[in-house]
Amino acid sequence: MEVLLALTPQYINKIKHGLLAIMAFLLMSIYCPSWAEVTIEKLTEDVLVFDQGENRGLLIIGNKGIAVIDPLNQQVVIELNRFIAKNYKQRVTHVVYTHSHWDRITGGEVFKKQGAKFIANKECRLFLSGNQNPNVVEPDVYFDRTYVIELGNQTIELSYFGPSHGECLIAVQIQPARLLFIADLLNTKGPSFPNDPTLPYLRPATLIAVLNAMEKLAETNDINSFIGGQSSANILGSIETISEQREFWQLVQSTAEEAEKNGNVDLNNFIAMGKIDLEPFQKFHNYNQEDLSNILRRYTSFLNMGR
Amino acid sequence: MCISTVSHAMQPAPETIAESEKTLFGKLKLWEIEKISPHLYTYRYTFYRNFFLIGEDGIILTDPLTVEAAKILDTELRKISDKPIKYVAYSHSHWDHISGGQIFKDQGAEFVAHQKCQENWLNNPNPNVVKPDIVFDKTYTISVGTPSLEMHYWGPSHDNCRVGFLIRPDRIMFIADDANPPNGWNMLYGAGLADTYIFNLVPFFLQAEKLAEREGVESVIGSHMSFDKNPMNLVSGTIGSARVIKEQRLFYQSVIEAVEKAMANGIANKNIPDYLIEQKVLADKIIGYDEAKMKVLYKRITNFLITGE
Repeated sequence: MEVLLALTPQYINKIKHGLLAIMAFLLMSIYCPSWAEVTIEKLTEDVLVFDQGENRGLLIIGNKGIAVIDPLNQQVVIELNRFIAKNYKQRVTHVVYTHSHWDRITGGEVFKKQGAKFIANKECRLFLSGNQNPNVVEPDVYFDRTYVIELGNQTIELSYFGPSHGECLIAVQIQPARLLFIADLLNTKGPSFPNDPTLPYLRPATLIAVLNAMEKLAETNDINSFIGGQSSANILGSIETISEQREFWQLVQSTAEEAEKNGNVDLNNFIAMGKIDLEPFQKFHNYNQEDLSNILRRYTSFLNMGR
Repeated sequence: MCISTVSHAMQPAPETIAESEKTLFGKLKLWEIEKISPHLYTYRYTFYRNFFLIGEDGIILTDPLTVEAAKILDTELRKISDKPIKYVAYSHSHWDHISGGQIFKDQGAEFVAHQKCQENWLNNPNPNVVKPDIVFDKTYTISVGTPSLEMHYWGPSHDNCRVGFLIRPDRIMFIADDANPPNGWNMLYGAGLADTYIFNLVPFFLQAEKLAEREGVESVIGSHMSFDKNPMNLVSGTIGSARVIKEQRLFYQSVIEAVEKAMANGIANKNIPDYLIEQKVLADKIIGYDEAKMKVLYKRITNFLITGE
């Protein structure tokens, strides 16, 4: 009798919800890495950086609203939400995606419910439309070249210069702090070898033009420092890193061109490493000869394909 | 390495009508032209292949390959037909397939490609690659009388503008750089999947399969020479069963599923390639399984599942 009583539609719904919660928890434990600690640090009174694991995002606090640049993931969003509620009267009005990679942009639903506007470059649409990842809030605004967010005493200008790291990476300019936020293309330590030498997201055809445009943007706006998307001891990197990183990629490309010209490329597009001068590469952070071989292989493919 | 010809039941038997005197290596000629049907021909230059159609109203060429390859093709073409070259159709935007078309442009040919190919050209022009004149979004058909060529775009896949070709009335398909007969389970040449839109690979091939089924396509022409198993032989791969389209889809699908499963089993992302290799996942399925390449491929797929790209 008790059992029958318990199985009223109301109880069935409770069981369903309970089961769904358990399933969701199990899925989360399967697909989410064990969460690392979230830290939030003030860079200036209005620009805050938050880190979790290897990734870094930004909070820009304006007197008319708050912008989150790359929410990272659900756990970070919960922490940010708690932090903002405790310390500020303003709410999150804008969430900016610097590019389309899910490891930086899941979990924004909390801010969506608060009415925040989600913004990304229009080339991100290919990867973000159609609910490809249910944990990524789809942008409300897909902009083309530039987009300006006014938060009262803070202005954020988003600029797109073409494919570079993925299809839709943008530069985020923060004024009046005179800062740039450039995720995943630069290392604040200085010009470096990339983390993944197979360069899965690199767009060599437009990369140099993008870096040139970023240099120009910094120069025009008298910007001396940038913030990178990877957490590291240095929050700020020198703006010269942009041109030095460009020189790195130009060196990679000219080395690949030279090897092609001299017939030092095998059928699998690998360069005979014994026949190239490694010395110019050794000054770059994270130098590694095996990585260089893979990086050059991507560039010989690029020279053959144009992409 | 030895070279053999693989014949498949119900497949058209290509007839060599011209070949180079020079060899590429072994007995393999530098280039050859094969006749598939009264109006359909294939042209292999080194490891690459295109096809062309000769109709009452003119000629449709595809992928001119390289400046040298196009020059040879032009000379040989004149021995086969005096019809005008009306169109050159690009299968995608990679220069190793579409360079050298100027010789045909000079004869008045119009160049047709998906609109994204034109954008790619504008982003990174190459003096050896003719800019497409006619661009389209979803499908486009060019005809020279009896034979015609349908170009189908199913979203980004291998580059952002690759199309599937359907040759009529032969009902033969061509998907550049993938689906090379005789096997769709062959180890990939570029395991890093540079310039590949992984999220749409399986949907792309499902669409190709659907078209093949709807149109009764039984054969595909390979854009590359290929290899076969037992023993591992380099094979011509000119034409073969349309099942390679499905096999190619299953290849990508299985690799993605293997990585998803490893993630679901709690394997740390950075350990997934080594774990899958150690477990010999797909080792018996993939022809020419190469551990070094599989490591790169698994790493690429892991990155895809983390980032969505």
